[in-house]
Amino acid sequence: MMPRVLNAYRIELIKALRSRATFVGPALLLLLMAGALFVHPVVRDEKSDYDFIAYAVPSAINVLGILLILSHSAASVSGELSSGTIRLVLVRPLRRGEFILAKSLAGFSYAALITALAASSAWTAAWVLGDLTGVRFGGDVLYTDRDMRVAFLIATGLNLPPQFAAVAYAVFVSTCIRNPASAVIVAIGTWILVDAVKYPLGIAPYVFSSYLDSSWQPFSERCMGIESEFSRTALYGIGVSIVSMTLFLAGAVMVLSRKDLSA
Amino acid sequence: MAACIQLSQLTKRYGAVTAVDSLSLEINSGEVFGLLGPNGAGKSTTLYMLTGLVRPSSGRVTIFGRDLQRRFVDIMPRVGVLVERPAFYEHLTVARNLLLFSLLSGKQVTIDRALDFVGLLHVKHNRVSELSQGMRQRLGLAQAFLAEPELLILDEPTNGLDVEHTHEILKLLRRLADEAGVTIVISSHMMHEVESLCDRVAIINKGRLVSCTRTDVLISYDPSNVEVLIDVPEAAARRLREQPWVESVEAKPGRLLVRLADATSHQLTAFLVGQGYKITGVIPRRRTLQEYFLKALNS
Repeated sequence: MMPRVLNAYRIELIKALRSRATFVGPALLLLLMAGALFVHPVVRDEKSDYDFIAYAVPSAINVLGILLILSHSAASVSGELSSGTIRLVLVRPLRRGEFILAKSLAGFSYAALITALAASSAWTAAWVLGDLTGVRFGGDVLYTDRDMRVAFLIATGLNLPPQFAAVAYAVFVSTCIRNPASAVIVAIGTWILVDAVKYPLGIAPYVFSSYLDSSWQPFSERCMGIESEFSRTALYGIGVSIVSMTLFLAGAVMVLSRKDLSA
Repeated sequence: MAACIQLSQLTKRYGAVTAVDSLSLEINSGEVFGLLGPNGAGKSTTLYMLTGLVRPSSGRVTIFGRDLQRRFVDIMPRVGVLVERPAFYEHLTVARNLLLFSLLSGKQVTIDRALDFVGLLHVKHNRVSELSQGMRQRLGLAQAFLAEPELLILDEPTNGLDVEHTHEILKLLRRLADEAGVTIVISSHMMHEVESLCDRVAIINKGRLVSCTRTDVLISYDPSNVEVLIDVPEAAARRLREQPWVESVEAKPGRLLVRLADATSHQLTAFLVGQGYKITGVIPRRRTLQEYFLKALNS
């Protein structure tokens, strides 16, 4: 199974690298990061600029990044259903579940790319244009630059499971809806709707999107000189994301397995 | 000959509509097998059930002695499929598309050989979006041939092709069957293509198998069916219709199409000459697949 999935994943990468549309999202993200420098200027003034990173990266990923990820994954299967290319793919020795896994891996890679781009561009901007010399409070070093880097890496890492769950959710929508534009609209629309009602309904702890913001909290608090550690919330976030990912991927496999792919 | 494909009570229902109804067939290895039927008969649905694109409601598909649903990934490396109106990745080149499909096949393949087969080597580096309809169809055939399959399943293989390319493709398919022993299953509306290419033909109507027979038997010369080249066909036709040994007569300009009930063409000739008609030729007619097809559907 794995060689077939990896082959199919390799094909997704080849297709993506040869499509100009793949690069639009990252380009927009970099523009957003550049724009963030105007909203939150970074200068060499011997004051650490981790707060720029704490502002720019979550904003980029949790607003634009998640839209890009949802769009990319929601169009992945529906695009092939709509164009008909899926019929030539699935007459090859590749099970439908393996096809879904390959599409999901491609989505995960895209999410990781967006995250890495946002994180590295923000950190680079702060390092080149500003100061990253640790967090001080009342003259004492509360957190060294190394502590902040580690915290940032952990926050970035913890942000990935909910993003991967978002990919799985969008792939599920993509499998249910043949038209890619409609699939994207439904994926994003439902996301916004759930985000709007999760707190009033008290279901926020069980919705993976809640952990997109919470993963950044410890890093943001450290930037403000508040002592903060990564709590059990992070583990809940990983658990909820894994469960959501599993359910959505299983759903996608089930839907595609029952679909007739005649002309 | 060993059976390459076995369909056992294959059925497909879409709600209240039964597209394929308890179809049972055996297709032998190395044979070219045609599926004929009117629009909506269930030919394409049957082909798609053979390829795993459509799940049967009941029944079984066995290919190379293995159940298709259970052993799909073992069977499909040996199968090449052409679907109707094949779609490709438009932003990629011809060669790149075939490379991607070949990666999925899990076999080492030579893309150039497949392209050469179908006469598309010269557009290898062109984007698919630049190809004409006929070229896309040929590209579809190329991706089916790519992994040198033992079984080819082709839905309307000559759709959109010009006369020259149709002839070449049919010749190539016949060569593959004769020389390489490839089993070929074709669904087509083109009677003359099926007639010239297929060893056996199955006629499907309203999801059911109407008949399955060898084409050489179907299209043999029929001694009771003759064409007579004659000077006065209308008058001769009137005289012949009075004869009990004539089943039917059709008068056309300069000739008669006669079906004999209980006589030979020699007796027919002798009668017409005896009546004073001038005959310039008597030609035994071949059955055509179209005639057989229409007769089978009506029965």
